Amino acid sequence: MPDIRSLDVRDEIMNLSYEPAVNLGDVVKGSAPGFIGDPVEFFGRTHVTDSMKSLVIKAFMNLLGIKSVTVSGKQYNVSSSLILLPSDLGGGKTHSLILLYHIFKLVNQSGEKDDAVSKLEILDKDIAELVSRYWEKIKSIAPKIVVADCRYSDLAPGPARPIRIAGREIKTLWGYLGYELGKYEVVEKADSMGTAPYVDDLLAVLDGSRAIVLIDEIGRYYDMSGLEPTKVSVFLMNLAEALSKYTVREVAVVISVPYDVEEKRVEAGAGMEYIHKPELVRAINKVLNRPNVEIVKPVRRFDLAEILQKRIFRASNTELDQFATEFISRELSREYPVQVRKVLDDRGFWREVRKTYPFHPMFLNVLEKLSYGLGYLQKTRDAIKIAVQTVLALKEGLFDALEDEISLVMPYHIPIFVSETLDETILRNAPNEYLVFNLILKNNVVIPHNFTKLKKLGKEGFYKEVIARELRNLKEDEMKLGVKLASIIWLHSLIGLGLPMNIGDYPTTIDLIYSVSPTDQDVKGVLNILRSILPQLIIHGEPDSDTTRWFFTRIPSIDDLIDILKKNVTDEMAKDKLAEFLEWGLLGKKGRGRPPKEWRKGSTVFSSSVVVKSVRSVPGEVSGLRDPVLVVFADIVPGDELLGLLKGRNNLIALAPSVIGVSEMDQLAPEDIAGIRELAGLEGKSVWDGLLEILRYYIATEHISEANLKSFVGDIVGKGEEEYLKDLLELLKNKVDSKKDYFYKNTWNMINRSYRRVYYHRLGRVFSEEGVSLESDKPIPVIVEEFLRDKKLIPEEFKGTNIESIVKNYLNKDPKKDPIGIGELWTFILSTDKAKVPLVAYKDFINAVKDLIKSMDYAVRIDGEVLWKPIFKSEVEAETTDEGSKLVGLIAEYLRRLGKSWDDVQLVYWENVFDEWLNKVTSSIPDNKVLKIKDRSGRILDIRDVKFSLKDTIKSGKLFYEEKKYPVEIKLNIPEEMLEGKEYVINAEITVKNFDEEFNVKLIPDNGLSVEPREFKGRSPLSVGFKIRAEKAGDYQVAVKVHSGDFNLDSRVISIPVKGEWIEKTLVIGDKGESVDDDARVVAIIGEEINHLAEISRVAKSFPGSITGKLTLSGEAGVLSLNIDTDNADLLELTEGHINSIRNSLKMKTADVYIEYAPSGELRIRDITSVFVNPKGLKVKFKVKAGGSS
Amino acid sequence: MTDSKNPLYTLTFTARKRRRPYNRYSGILRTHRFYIEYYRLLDGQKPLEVIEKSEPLIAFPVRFKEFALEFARELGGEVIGNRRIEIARSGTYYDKHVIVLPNEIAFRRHLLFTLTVSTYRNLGEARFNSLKNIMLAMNANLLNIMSTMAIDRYNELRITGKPTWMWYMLRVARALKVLYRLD
Repeated sequence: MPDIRSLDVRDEIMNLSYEPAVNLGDVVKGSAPGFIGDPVEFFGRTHVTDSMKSLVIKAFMNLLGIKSVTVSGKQYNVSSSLILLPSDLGGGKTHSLILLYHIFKLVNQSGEKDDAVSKLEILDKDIAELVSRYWEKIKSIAPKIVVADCRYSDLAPGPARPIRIAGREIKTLWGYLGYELGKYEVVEKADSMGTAPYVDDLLAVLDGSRAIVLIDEIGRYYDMSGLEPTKVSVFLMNLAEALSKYTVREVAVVISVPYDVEEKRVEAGAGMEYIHKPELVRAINKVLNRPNVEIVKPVRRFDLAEILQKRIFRASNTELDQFATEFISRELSREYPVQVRKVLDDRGFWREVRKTYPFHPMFLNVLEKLSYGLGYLQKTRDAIKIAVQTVLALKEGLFDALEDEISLVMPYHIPIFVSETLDETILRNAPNEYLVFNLILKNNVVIPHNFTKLKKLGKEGFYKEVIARELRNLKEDEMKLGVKLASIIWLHSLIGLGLPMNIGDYPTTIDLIYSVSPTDQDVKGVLNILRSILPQLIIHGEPDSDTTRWFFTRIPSIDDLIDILKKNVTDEMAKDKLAEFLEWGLLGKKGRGRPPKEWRKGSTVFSSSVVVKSVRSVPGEVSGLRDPVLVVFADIVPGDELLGLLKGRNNLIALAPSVIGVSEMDQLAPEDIAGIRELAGLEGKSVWDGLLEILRYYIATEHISEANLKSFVGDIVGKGEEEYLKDLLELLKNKVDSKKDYFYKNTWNMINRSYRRVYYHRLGRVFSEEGVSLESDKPIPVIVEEFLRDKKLIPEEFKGTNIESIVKNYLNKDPKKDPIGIGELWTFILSTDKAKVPLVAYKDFINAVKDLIKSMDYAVRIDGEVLWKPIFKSEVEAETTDEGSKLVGLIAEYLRRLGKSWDDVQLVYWENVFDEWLNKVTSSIPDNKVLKIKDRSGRILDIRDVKFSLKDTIKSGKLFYEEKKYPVEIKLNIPEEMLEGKEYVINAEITVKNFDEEFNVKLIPDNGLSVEPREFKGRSPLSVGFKIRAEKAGDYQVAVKVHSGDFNLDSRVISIPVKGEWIEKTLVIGDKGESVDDDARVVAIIGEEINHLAEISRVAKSFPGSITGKLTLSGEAGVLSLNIDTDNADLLELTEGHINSIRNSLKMKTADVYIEYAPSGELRIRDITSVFVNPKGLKVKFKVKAGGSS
Repeated sequence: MTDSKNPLYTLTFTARKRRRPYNRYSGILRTHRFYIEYYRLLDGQKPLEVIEKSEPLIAFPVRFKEFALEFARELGGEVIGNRRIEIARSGTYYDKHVIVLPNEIAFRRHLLFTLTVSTYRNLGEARFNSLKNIMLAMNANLLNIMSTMAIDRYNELRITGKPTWMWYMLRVARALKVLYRLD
């Protein structure tokens, strides 16, 4: 299957001398070009349509006097010897008359039957067969051929231009007929007087004349002959009457009529009434009203393909058939998109194209619509002309830029970008209203150039100079398809004049897909692009529907209106609109109204977000929020203002197009400028400028009201065309909507480009992170949150360990020593500029705190109250419930009751408050309960009995209460100090509640401790006394079992510490004497000089204790006496600090000092020695173990 | 603007301590709540003196005072005083603007605006713009009715001493929101 460009075309096509306006007169006179004047050449180029065939056959039948004949199975009947050939200009009438002329001349001239038949077979087999069948009869008749071509005076004389032959002056058509048929005398009178001939005269001339009379261009005869129109009309009427008589034989008259016939009434086509007079229409109407007139329409629409094939291409029918088969089998093996495949199958493309090859069925369709729809074109003639120019343009390679391989002549191949074609064919003779389509063509489809220039352009040149500006920026594939589609739409719009009322003339989406098929491109997709970029393209119907019709309209483009309105849009309005866009963006929805449910999913970190134009208008309600907040600026922000806003607010995140002094603004990228037509003038500007520009367009589009549109189209639509106006407005509204969509999309595009950075404050300056990418249908806070998570500003998870590390690293505190105030820590995270703290929500922060609490490493102090290990109600609960959650629950409950918040909570490392806590817990055990502990190994102990490694046991175990049925209470009076080797008497009172019977008490002491007696008996309350003695110091335990018979009431353990004996000694520092053991315990320090005050106060400050004594200073100014009795070392220090001033003021002479310090706990000598500076004369009382354990 | 020497209405903001801190906020709003106070001036009175000495015409808790300030400027209001008030022992402060409104209609527009704004939990630029446009274009008759209603409710409800009085007064603004389909 060859490429179309390689198909051979006929010579006259190549050298453009095919001039299809053939002329009967020229042929008769022999002055026609060879391919028309020579019968054989002419037959080769003629496609005999069915109606032409019937014309020829009927002419033969009339001549031969046969009323009915059957040729190759088809029966032909003829009812009149007059045959009318009606058609508009270029409809094939003249061609048919020339054909008749050639056939009869050939038959007349041929001596041999075979010779004539073989030549006729080139034309048509049926005609050849008929001639061969009646050869003898035809030859015997030897038909005369009378040609009256009204274009020429010598073939159709009138009074103005008579013919003078043999002394006669023939002044009329009827005179000419009479003369040619040898019966001039019959019509002589009518001829010479210039009156219409009678019916019987005409009958006499024509009946049996054995002639074929061909009359062409009768219309012109009215105007040129000089006869009154009525006379010509009467002649025609009489002629028709005469020839419709049944008896008329052996004559055939064929008249061409320049009008289309519908239901036997002629209609003056648009534009025709200017050429011919109304009389003609009337006359022909009369003629046609005769019942017996044969009307043969020479060319019908469906013959176009064959006519073009024959006229243009040299290849024979069989060759073309073969090519078509190859084409179909190749194309059928290819894969196409569903939309294309479906259209091809639905339209029966594969069957159709076999007939029309090498033309696409739609090409013929468009051609036909053009030649029939455009009143100023000649039907067959101009159709052929356009087709020829199309094929020539293809062969000249003008479409090489659009397509690599051309296997069909497609409708878009009509070369509308060749100015010659446009001016000389498609728009030739076009009335003014069509000329606006030149502009539409330039703005939306292609820019026409002359042929010579086009030849030189090349591919790139074609893209740059021929394709309309709007289409150039598309991707190459889309651009090519776009041009094709736009061409087709343009041609159709031309037919319908771009008026909505001619909606039927415009192609539907399906038509358009079919017109460019077979193709593997997404036609619908490209159509949708065209809709938004081509200014004058309008659709009628739903954009996605298959039946939507597409056309260009001659109203001014909406873009112009938008451009006008845009001038009134200020920057402020654009920024307001931007704020609106961003506010929609915060919700992540399109347009106004309640967002759909799924968009409710907000950010988990940002508690609030707000769009503002300037720092000044950030509401306090937002910037003062405790949780992280996102502030989106709808304007450029000055750096210092932003710093002012963010300073001390580590939880504020700002999103801004640009911050002056912090970040540079991005330039518009070339692809932005190329992709968005409206930005073309902004090269070198920033994306922010681009965004504002697009917003201005959006606002302008949004502001287009019905009133705007009405006044806009008002100039075009006149009064009384309300229906049209309504249609137009509807279409324009659709157009405006699609524009709005387009700007909406691009606004988001530019928002995405402009908002690339997120700003926040740390370490005293504004930081920014680049790379965030906003989308129109996802909430902005969510996008920013994800982005910041990527950048690690928001931690993956915020746990208890994070809090510990913040305290350690940023606050430089040791969480194991210093308490952590939750409120202060949160304030620190919110406001510090010393550390790069993470961005956390308060909820997450508190969860981390709870996490810490749950680990049991930290106890909680609220208003002095310490909360730590929870105590469960029972062992079962202790086993099943998590300790941490229980504690957190208790704290929450406690806070609620107190009306406090988590901010008031302090975390303290457990060891630091253990004793305090234990005291509180043990003192609050109810009488009827025992506090037990289940330790790590699962043993259950009474808490009172845990004596060794108490802290660890309690930390790792679980506490719970156990009900006592008979609570046993043991009151002991153990001496404060028990020394080894001494005997003590201990009295105890044992009470057992709810128990009236006698019970036994058994004491089981540890080894090394002797207890006498060991068993008691009695009723509650039982007072007992027993002796106790240990030979060696140590911690002893005595197990107490209270039982009644075998029933154990309670078991307890009493701890008894036994110390060694102490001996008190005194030493005066500075005196010589025996050395003192470092381990000796200090009992008291006594100072008797004034400078001892400093020493004692230093010791007292380091080791708390009581200070008592008296100080009397006397001097010239008087006496100062001071009694001291305090636990507060500061007081002594204060006194000591002022002692020198006092001495000076008193002019002191004597001082009487006695100050005694007694430590409150155990204090070793070695501890105080490091504190002393000048201890000389100090008396230190101390005690050592009696045994002198050193 | 009417004679600027003799302004008719003036407004200011005052922070009053909350009964208990509101933990949603971390700054001044945690412990304090802003009230807007409108005063009517008699002929020859000085705004700054009136604010010090007399009872306001209407006062209620206001939210988004930045927008209230901006709207006052838009109405032709003039900021005649701005003192920085330090809040004791908290290290926070606020700016106490004193604004003089040029005429009665401006006062009514502003009153209705702040009432409406105070019913929002979150307010952005776009919503502010639409509200602003509604207020600027509102028919004076409707404006009169609505604002008078608010002032009347204020006077009636304040003396009842119920802590919820402000909610009843703010219903005027909620009605407005329903009327103009604001959400």
